[in-house]
Amino acid sequence: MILENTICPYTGLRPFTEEESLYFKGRDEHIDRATRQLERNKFIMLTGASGDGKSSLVYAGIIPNAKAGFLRSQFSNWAVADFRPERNPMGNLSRSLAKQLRIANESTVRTELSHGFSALVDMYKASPLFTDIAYEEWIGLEASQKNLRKRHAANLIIIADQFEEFFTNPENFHKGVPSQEANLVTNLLLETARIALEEKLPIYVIITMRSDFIGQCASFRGLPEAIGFSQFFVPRLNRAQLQEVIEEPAVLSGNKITRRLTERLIHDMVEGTDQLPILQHALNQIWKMADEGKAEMDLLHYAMVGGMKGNELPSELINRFEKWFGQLPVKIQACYTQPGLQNVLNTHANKLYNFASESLVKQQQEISETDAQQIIETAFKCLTKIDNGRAVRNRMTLGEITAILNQSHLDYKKVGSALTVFREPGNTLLRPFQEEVPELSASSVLDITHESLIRNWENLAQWAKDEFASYTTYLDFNQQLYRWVDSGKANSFLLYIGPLTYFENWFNKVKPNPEWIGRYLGEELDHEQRQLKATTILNNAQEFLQRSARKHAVTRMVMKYGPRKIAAAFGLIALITLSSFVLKTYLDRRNATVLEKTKERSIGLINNPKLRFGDRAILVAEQLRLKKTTISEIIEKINDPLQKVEMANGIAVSLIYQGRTNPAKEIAEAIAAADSLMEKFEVPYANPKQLSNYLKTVNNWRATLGLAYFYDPTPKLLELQIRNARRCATYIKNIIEKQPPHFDDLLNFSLALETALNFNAFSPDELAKLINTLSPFENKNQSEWMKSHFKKDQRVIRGYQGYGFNFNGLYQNLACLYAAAGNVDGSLQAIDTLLKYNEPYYQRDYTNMLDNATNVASVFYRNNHSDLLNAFVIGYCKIKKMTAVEFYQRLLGRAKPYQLTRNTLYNTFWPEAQNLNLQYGEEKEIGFFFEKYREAIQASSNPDERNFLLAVSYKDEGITIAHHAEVASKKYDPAIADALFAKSVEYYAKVTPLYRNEIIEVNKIAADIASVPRNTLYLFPDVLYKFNPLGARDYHWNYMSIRFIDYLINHHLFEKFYGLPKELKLLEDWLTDYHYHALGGAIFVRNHADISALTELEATLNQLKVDSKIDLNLLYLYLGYYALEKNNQTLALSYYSKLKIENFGTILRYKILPGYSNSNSFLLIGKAFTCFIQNNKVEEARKIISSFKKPVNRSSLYSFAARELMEQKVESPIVQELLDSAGLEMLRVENLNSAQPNRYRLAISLVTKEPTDQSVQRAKDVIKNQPRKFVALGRMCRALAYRDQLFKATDIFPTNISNDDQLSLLSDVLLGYIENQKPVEEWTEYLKNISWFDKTNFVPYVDETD
Amino acid sequence: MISRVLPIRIHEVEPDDVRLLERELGGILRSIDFIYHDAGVNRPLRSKDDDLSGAQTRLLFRNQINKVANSVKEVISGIKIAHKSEPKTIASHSLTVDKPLPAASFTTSLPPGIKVHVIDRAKPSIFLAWTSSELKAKREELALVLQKAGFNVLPSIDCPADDEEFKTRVAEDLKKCSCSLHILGNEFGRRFEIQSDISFPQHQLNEVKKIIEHASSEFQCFIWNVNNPAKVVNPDQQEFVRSIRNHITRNMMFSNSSGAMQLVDDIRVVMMKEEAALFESKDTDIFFIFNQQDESDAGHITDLISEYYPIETLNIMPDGEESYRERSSQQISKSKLAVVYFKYAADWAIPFVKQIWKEIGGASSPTQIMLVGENDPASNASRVFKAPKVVSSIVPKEEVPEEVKKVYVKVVHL
Repeated sequence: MILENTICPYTGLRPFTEEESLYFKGRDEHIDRATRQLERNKFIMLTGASGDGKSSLVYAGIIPNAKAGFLRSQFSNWAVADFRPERNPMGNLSRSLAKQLRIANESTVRTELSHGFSALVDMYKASPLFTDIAYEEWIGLEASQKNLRKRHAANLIIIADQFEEFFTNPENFHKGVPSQEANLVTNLLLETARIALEEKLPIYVIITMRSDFIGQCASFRGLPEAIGFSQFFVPRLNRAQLQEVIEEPAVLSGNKITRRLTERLIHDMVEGTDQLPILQHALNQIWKMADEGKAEMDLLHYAMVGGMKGNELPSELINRFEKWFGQLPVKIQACYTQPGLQNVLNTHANKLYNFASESLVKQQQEISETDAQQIIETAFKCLTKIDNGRAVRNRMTLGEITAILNQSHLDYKKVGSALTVFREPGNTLLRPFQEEVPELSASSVLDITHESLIRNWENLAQWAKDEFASYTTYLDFNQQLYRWVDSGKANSFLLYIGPLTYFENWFNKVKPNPEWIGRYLGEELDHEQRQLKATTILNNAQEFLQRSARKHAVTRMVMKYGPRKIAAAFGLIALITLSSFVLKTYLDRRNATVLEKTKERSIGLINNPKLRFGDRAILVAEQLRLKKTTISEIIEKINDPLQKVEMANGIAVSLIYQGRTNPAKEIAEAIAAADSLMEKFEVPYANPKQLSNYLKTVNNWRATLGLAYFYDPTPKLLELQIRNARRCATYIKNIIEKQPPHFDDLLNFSLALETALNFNAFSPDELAKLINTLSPFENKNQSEWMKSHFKKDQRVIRGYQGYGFNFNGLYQNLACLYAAAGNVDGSLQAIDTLLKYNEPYYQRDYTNMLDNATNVASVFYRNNHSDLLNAFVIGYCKIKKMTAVEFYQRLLGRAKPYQLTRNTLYNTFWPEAQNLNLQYGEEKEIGFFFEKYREAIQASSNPDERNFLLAVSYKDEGITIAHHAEVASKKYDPAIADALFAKSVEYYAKVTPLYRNEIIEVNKIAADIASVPRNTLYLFPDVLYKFNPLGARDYHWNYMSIRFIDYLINHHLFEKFYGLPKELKLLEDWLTDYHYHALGGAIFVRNHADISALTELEATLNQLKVDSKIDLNLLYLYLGYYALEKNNQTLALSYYSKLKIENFGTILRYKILPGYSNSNSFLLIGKAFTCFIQNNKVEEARKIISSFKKPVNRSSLYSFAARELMEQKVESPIVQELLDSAGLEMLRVENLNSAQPNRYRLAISLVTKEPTDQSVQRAKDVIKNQPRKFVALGRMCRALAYRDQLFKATDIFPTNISNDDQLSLLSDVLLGYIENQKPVEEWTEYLKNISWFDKTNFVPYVDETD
Repeated sequence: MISRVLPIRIHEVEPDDVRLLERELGGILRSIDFIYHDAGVNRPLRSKDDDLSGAQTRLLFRNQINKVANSVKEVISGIKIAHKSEPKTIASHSLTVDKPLPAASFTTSLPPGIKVHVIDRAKPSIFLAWTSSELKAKREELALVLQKAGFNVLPSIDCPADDEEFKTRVAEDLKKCSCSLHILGNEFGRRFEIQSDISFPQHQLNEVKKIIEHASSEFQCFIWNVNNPAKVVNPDQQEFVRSIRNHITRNMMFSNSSGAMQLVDDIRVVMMKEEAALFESKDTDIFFIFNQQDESDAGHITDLISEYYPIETLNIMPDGEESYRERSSQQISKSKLAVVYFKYAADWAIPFVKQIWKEIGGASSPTQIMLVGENDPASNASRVFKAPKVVSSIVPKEEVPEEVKKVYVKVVHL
């Protein structure tokens, strides 16, 4: 800051900034104490009342003190990362830290910080700001080098200003519970301070917070302790300090102030809030009045700003004052009422308000005085809100204020101009100040500078009160409105004449518009959602008032004209209106009309790019199933070319995900549409954001095609894949050639490059050119673009939310490029760099979990360089110090197919984290790698090891091939797998028992190592890789096929292999794994096991009489379930009769994904229960019910059985009995706060039983106040649609719901409607694989172990 | 040990040290002054002093003196260790000799034999003025509160009935006090028989004002207005209060505290300020401050400057043990020019200058501050700070000493 004499040393209402620390006086002692405390404890929590100067103490006290060298620390320089929590604490902290730690990518910081605890300290240590002077390397440095390093080093201060925002924003704190994010940020702050103290690091954490929130701090773990350890309550200023606050700034700047004025000001200060802001503001005004400090500030000036009465002045000044006052315009004179220090602010604001239109003339703007004052009033009403009975600040954009003002002749520019006077230098009552933002835009966020203005400007206080009164009337009105809407807009809920007149008057006076209503809709909705909801409310409100008025029209008319005059005319009109109303209602209620309307609504929603993409694609699929629309019609209606492709892709993926190869026609159409649309792309290389979107589109497309080809390997799909690869190649070549500035989407760049390489889309020349341009090993003079984009240590997150892995895009790509070019050394050199800059991340690239070198191996294979693979693997294994056997084990572990492709549409999990080439690889490729694996095994000198690994490899390959054949519906030749199993058995026989039984360690759950006999790897009757790329959850994710068990049974080997209890236990494990996969087939790319094989297994186990040794409940439940699917009740009963109900606990207490696995067990048990009921096996059914001790589960079971029976069209009193029992058990639930999923089930069953208004009402009562009642409502819509009650189904949609919710409800309606239609052959598979989460029959199980 | 104190003074001894010596001697330090005024005395010896022009032809007295000076310093340090348990402090607002004198005089050498009058800040005496009769009870209550708060309250007798005796008593007791408190209510109070327009309370205040008007007076006057708004205020009293409020001068406080407790607390805050530590500082021409980052460059520059002017230096280290703020501001007030130099440490220099500027009184500081930075690195070009009493310049490294000299000459001739 250049300090000129004309700069006012008094800041007015706003806090002191760091720049203004020059004039921050009166707190020297406090600053010193706080600084010492911070120096000692590395942490300080500054608390104090509003307006006590906490922020000033930090920004104009502690920080300048530290920078000046008065806070003892390690380095001379200081980095200050300050943030306010606002509604996005994590984002704000990350942004500030990224800037201070000089990290270009803010999201990297966010990802790193998301791990909590030492994450922030680690980032600081890794940043250029830190130099470890205790480190050996430092000690050995030359003095000059030490100086250089120290010069770049800096201590770090983290400031969380206005910490109370953690409590005042619902995003951070809701119903007394902090959000995850709020907890994370607090954890980071506290841990950072703790570690800094422990390790003597130069990091300091400062928090400021209003003291009235101190009690709520207990909600954060560790925070009360930290406050106890180092709190600083900002003291009130004593008399001497107040004197400094008043006099010192004047003295410092060379201005003068009389002692009598100082004493007068101190004398006039009133105990309570706002002391300092009011004083500062008055001083600021006095300084201005004293010719901007040129005259000695005295009582005269104090009187001139409205601080004291003129007649109280010393006699020599009275005349001067009166002369001056007499020259003022009358309306300004009127502002000088009740002079006093407390009133200076009021006087000032009133002057601005009264003089606003005159000041606009200066800006050459013509706004009438009335308009100007209306703008000011509306703006300030918008900028305040009542919170817990207190008027507080409320930030709002100029655009929003203009919209609420809603005057066609006043655009945001005019509104902005009228407010300028409050932002001018010297009148800084509104932010942003004019000197910071000269011209406001519609998106400028306005904020009152300090809340003391609200408390001290009488007009504003009154406006806030009026606005609050308006708001409370609105709440009252809304309550009536809601009741009316909720009743289905029933006439009986219309307003009575008294309230009607009252609310009409209010409505006409306030003239609420969507923006006004939107401001009171809660902050959890985004702007668009709020607007939509507000518009709906407003439309409803208008209709409500109109219809209420209509209801009372006669009364009003009679009141106005008298009864006789109107009687005759009225009769005729009423008759006509009534007849047409009945006809319309009938038409509306016809299902066809509803379906047509649903289609219109769906298309509107589908065309809204802001809604969840996956949901839109599913809604399209449902419309297609109903044959209500066509793919071309949908795509036609979308305007944006990129959105068209995305939608075509989305439809294709949704259909393939569930239907795999059917409906073939629709799948082919969607694929063809996407491909042809993409051919027409004109890629915008000059627009980095668009370019990135285009790349993302081709990459998504690659995933779709990979999945489609996996299920249906036709030449056409292969051709499309190659074409897309060429497309990718063209993009890549152009990007490298043009090097577009600002393009930095390295993730999509590298994925596209990978696609191109995997399909040989580059010519050898092009490959060489790419390598020469990209590779720093070849090209020493890289362009700036290359250097900045592909730094050696730059990593890209491949995956979502820090899942997936971090990798260096360039060097990974280089390794692949060299592989494609057949250059082993180059490939290894690139990997060498990767490893050098590798860091241990969550999933750890190039460490144990996700070894990308296996991707490179696949590139060698696909580019016809299989001959070079050995050299690569040897070289790589040398670097990594692993064996080739281990390398191939990892590679094959990555070849397990998981269905994550559709998730690219939802952007969840870790899209593309897997290797699509290997996952969806053809048998030939997988076979090749198994062969390479065995080649590596052959190198072993230990015959036992050799034979054992060979046995396992043949078994695994056989199962993999069997699995691929099962799910990909290809022609399956059991002979291939059987031949491999035969070899496997042969090699296994050669292994000595000693070697087989030796205890080895396997990675069971992530880092958990389990010690098991070696033969576990073989006897587990499925693929049990030592290496699992997905980590922890893989423990139960080993099921692929039953074919190996089937082989053993058919070849009479079963008993030989599974004679001992510990061997049989492995079968039990396998059943559990099967359970994890069977009901979520679409997710895991698994099928239900071949029922005949499963039946054979049961028969064999029965024969062996092993059921006392292992738990076979799952086996019986599945066999019963499959029998029911085929409507074979007798067979099902035969299995269910073998159940050991007392052992149900085992299958209801899984720890991995318990909500999923245990609920699936519960569903299977529900099927058994229903079967017993249906077949009048009352005792067995009762036994099952009695095995559940919680009423909530019993209630669920009853409701489930009722609905099952209704689906089978069983019309028996038993259904009603079941529903009654469910209702009774529901009432027995003791803890009403615990989860009660039974209520949802009961509601669905009630509506299914009788789709009447009464049932719907009862169902609504059942789910009332339940946390997930919206989901239940969706299922109710589905049940009504299932009963052909489409009108009712759509009529129970709540009003004021978001588009996303509408989308979801419409899908439910269509799904229910289709469920009751005759099944269509080509959609059977699609229906079978419907997402697990959408299953109607899903029965949430409530844990009974507590 | 005392007998070993040198009777020859060859060095300007710190006032604090003088007091220390005097306490040891049990009397006044009488010495034969032999103060060698030349550049560089107040600094350790340098080997290259012997290479200065003319050094070959004359005795290097300076070296000899320096050696002795250093010995004196060591002796004093020895005494200091022995008295470690008695830290020396000064009251920051007091104008007693404990405080460094304003730099305008440019000397702090103590004339021998000065006796120091120290106010007993542990228990100051307050003159609690007699009031109008309506407030008598209030005065008595206040007297008790003041005593509990650690004050000696005078006068301790009832108000004399006789005019003259009243005046005498007031004059006598005021002499014993360092502050006064006057309680004003609705009534004007008893008037003098001869001058009936003056009341007893008014007279006391007038006497106090006379004391305060004396330029060097540190006497504090507190006035407490406790009028009862339910009752009518005597017009004379109204005029009296109004006149006070409109003529408040330094060391006067007009309070409307809501209770005796708050009032006495305010008085105590003013009268019993915490004492700040005194740091070693010397009269010097130039006080040169830099950051550790620029240590080597600064050393070179100060070597050159010290050829011409006595110079004190201060190296601000990030992890230093010193209270740099207090040390710098005390030394600046004893220097003719304070130079803040930077090369790499611009991020430190600007905040430092701002804080120090504020500390030493900004525009009203007698000492000029010079902020001088090198023009390399280039980013320094914009690192200037403009404020009254601050000269800011960015120059090439080799020109820094010249630039300092130029500013120094200008300052001295001002």
